[in-house]
Amino acid sequence: MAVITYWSNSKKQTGQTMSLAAVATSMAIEHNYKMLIISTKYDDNTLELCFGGTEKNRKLLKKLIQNPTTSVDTGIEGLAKMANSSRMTPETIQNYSRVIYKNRLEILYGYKAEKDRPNEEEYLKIKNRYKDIIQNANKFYDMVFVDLNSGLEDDIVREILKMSDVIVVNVEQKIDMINDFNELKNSEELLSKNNIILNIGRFDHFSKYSVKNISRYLGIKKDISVIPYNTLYFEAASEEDVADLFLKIRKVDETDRNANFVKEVKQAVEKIVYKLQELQMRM
Amino acid sequence: MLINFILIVIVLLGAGMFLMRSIAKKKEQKVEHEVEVDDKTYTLEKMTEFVKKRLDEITKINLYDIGLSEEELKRRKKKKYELKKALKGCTYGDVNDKKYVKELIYDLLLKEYNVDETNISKAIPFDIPSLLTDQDKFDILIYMYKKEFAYEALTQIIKKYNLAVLKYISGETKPCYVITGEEISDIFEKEQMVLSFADKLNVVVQRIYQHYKGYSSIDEVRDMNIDGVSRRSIWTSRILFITSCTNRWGLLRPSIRK
Repeated sequence: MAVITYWSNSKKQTGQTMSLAAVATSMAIEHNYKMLIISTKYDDNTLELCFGGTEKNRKLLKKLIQNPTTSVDTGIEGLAKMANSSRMTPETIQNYSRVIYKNRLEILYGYKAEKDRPNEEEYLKIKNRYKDIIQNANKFYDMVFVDLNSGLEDDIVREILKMSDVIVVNVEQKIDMINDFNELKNSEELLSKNNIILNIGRFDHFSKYSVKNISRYLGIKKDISVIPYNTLYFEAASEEDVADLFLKIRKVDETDRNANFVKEVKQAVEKIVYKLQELQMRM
Repeated sequence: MLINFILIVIVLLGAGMFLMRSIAKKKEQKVEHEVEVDDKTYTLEKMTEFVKKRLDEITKINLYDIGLSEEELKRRKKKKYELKKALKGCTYGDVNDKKYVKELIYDLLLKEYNVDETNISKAIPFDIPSLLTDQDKFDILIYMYKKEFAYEALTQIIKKYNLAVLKYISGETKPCYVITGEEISDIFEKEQMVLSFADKLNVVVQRIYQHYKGYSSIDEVRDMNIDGVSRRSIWTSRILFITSCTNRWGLLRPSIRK
């Protein structure tokens, strides 16, 4: 129904994947949507570290049975095979995804490179199928979150941005990055539309580049969201514990040190929902 | 009383030791049998055997034995069903099923059978053109043309090298439309194709597929847009073939093959 793409123009770490993981998890808890996270990145295990990888189960399976004759076609590789042979339907996507919250949040991990073997050609083959996969997923899920590669050089990145309902542009809390976003917004047609939300990952409340100052500087009133740096969250994101953490800190006290993080993530979720409603109204 | 206690201790110790031994034994067992490498490992026959065995294992595995969660079991079942459907569909000549099964074979050979740049030449001697059979040369030719022209590949070869002409071949009184092994060898020499590893593996995969699930040597030919053996459109080839003459695939006849 809606494609929400997290993207950044910088190759530097902007906290893009972490922001996406936080917002998608929170949205899955707060709203009754069926959602899918798709990662298009090459050999990036950030999301696996957040929600738990597939390799862990495979190791367990190997211990349990002598000859693990499991199917070879798992994850994005399996789905790309289906897409290559024109066998992919919206319903088949869920067979290749991993469940985080049943009937609410699922994840389709990106391409994992294998050591000692050239992988570029294989990745390219899969990359060319991302558009198809996102389009099909959009028919089956209420919301599709895409963790997109940074930069605008790649045509596939442009195509995915073009088909996205909401683009969340991720920047660091630095003046040059904010200026860069401002220039891009004025020069790039893709980013000059009304479906852009600016997101600042690893946000520090004590910095002079506060939400108020940035919005005043850029002349944007409401389309700014922030994901503050939170120790518990960043720890959970390296221990495959994000799904549990969000269930635990869902209703924290206002005096709790995590309260601000929870509040900001909820606000980021609401901004996306509001943006989607706003865009729907215009249509 | 004391005897009972001693007996209980002995039984418990025995059971404990048995459990420990069985766990240790299981740990020592190699989980995945590695492919034993010898001279014949990377021949087409051995590879076909491996692919058959693996696909059979994947489709026949009892998912209830693995102890999956309900949701995971449901999804695995669907995936298994998809694969079964593709394996069945490709025998009827479904092009999409064929593509899917070929992709699976490609992965199995690459990831599990450890086929690489050096050992792939044992299946088909890509590096030594003099050792290639006419069938090998034709397979490489059709694969490379298919990459560029898709299902018009054969038509393009025939057009480019003017192969659709009446020929007299030894032992035949009537002229016929035939593409001989010599012609294929000549074309192969003229083309001077450079194959990447992925290309080579794709040729091997096609060869394995056509003997395992496909239609043997005409498998690729029948997918093309040509008259005669094609299941596709015949429009393109009507101009090439005259119906009053015999159309023959020299390559398919063992008597003509080298």
